[in-house]
Amino acid sequence: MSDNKAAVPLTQVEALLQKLRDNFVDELSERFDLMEDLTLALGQNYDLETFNQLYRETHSLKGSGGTHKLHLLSSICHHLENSLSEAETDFNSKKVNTLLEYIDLLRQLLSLYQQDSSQFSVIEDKLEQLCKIHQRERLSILIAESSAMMQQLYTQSLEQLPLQLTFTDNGINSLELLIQQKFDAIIISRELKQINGLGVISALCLSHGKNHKTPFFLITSNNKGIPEYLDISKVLIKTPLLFEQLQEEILELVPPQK
Amino acid sequence: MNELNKILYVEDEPDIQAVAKIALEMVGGFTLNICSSGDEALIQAEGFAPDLLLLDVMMPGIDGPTTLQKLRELTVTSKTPAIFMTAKVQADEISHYKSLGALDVIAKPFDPMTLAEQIREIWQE
Repeated sequence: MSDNKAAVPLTQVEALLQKLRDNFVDELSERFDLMEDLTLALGQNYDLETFNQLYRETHSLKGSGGTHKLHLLSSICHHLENSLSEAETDFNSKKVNTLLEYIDLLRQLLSLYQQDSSQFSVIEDKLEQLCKIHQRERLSILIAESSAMMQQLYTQSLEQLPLQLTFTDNGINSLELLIQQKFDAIIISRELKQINGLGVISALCLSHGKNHKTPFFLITSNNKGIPEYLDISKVLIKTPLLFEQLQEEILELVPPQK
Repeated sequence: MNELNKILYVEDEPDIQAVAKIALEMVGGFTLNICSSGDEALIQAEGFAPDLLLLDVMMPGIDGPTTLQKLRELTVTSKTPAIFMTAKVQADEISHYKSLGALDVIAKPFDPMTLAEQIREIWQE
């Protein structure tokens, strides 16, 4: 393996990434204006080209927001995207109002970014309310698992349940998400990259953040040496029965269908 | 496997391109050729002769898998290892991308500070 070029100091890299993020945030207001215009246009008269443009813009914001670690922005766009998918060609006034509510939430979030505020809990609560009102109720599950194969198996075993699955493959990304976003349950591997599963659970239990009461399911090959003070809902051992057991545990959390 | 120096990166989103450029050139030290579409990648591939293809899956025009299929028809990239990047990491989709000949799939959003390391780990496997 060659040394490639000399590494650039990390502080310089971080400064550049911050500048890109700042530029991205500066352009958000205009992008929200466009989305609002497209939504109102669809409410007046549906056409496929306008719909596709709105969908692409939402999808683009979702991806770029996530890349810039603006996870709440990305999350709102994700739900907006789902709403668009569910609307298909039916853009009645109720659907248009739903979409405008999400866009309004994006504007409120932008306001916080511009004030350099990190008080996102109000936005998170509003997003949760919007989702409950406008979508089928789905549990939001974080799966922290470094193995791609295991991630596939989780998806296969849980895809029939009304869940919204979010995956991370290391402890640091898991913590970042858990600080910013409320989940209904967390499935976490003990053997996780960067910070292991026990480290993540410990940090959250001590932080009293939004997920410190969220049920944790610890997945491990070895249940020895797990501190008793950690509030783990269930330790599940990696046996052939793991996914069946996990399904049962998650099913107990799923609310009865209305 | 040869050393990994040159990456042909295909991604339509300018914001994501800019972050990936920092991640792969400044952090990773790679030589990067960024293409905004599959069609552009087909034009650039011949002159650039990449060691690795890094392809977004969902793009307007021709998508990532179709782009890879067409790159495989070019002599210069007929055997070049490829990695897909996508926000969709469903089990059957990952298997599908690997069945198209990709080494692996990297989930989006990626961490710019560790993307280069992720790619090196996949390369070395």
